[in-house]
Amino acid sequence: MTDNLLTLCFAAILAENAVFSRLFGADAIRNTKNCFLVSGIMIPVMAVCAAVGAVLYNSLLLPMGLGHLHTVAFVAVTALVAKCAELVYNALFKKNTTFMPIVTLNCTLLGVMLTNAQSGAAVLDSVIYGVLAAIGFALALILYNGVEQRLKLACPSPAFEGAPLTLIAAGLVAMVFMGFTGIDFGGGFTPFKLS
Amino acid sequence: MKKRTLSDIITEGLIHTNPLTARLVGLCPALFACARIDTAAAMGVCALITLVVTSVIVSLLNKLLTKDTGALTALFISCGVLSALQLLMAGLLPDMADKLGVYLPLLSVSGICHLYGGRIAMKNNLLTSAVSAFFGGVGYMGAMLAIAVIRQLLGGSVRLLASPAGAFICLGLLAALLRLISGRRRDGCDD
Repeated sequence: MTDNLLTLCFAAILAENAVFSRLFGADAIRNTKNCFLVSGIMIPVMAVCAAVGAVLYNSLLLPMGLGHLHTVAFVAVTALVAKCAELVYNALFKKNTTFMPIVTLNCTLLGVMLTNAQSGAAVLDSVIYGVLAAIGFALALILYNGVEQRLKLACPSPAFEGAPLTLIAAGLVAMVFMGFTGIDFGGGFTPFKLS
Repeated sequence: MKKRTLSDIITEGLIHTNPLTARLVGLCPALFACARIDTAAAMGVCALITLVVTSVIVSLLNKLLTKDTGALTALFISCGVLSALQLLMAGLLPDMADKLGVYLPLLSVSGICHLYGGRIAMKNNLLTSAVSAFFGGVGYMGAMLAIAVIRQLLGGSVRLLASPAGAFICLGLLAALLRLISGRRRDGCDD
């Protein structure tokens, strides 16, 4: 996975974007009010979760024949890391923010950890893919937040107010990310396809 | 607060506060699974079972739980149920288990289990939360199947429909249609 970092960056951030191509973070479009906080938190949390998840799966669950418990173990890891991140953030910035819903109930974290486990990735590869996927998530969320700011100024028909308009706008942003799929990097190497 | 009747719960779950089209929860597994009718049906059945089991268990433990522990309990119960369903599916329908892949376990963290298994089950009694979860699950499955039918029928000729962007747009149009049918201006999401 680390063979071609640039290709991996392009794939994880744009072509296979966690929100609009792989759909892991699709739930995040529901509320993008704190998009900068969520994006900022997701990158370090994802790095830690990917590392802990890979170590746990490769060194403990698989050797003990408990691979089928990986989902429960990964959810426990995300909950624990979310709590630790919350304690550190609140101690550093003297705030009283709760990270449990925005981190634990984010499919991107569990989706990336499960993908790493399924592909049998090593710890370093898992962390690199995790961080890049989190950067892709942040990019998509901030980009979508910009679209949503413009939507507030629109006067749609009553049937499209709220959820329908949110979904159609998300579809249009997803079309932007579709433009990055299928790019040929030379030598016939086309690593990206529509999922 | 007005007491909700059975017909209120049914219409809320299916149309007015449909988890997929009005509340926008569980989008990640739904948008993936609605590419084909068979995957949508499998994901819908798994969601329905998970929601009802989680909601019943959390309702039974209601008195022992606080708001935070209730959310975590719902998360771990739904996760356990989905792991069991995934193992069952790998044994009985291995092709379907491969097709759903990592997206089936994502149901547990996608918000729908937190909503029905956590928030609604913590506020209501056993019967009300089980019925709400059942009809919420049916609404979720119905919306997924409706989009899957459109995408599978037209996806061959309109390539956009087969892509994730097409899934978002189809769901948006379905949400607008349900809004027109229900006659409500905005999504009133009273738990």
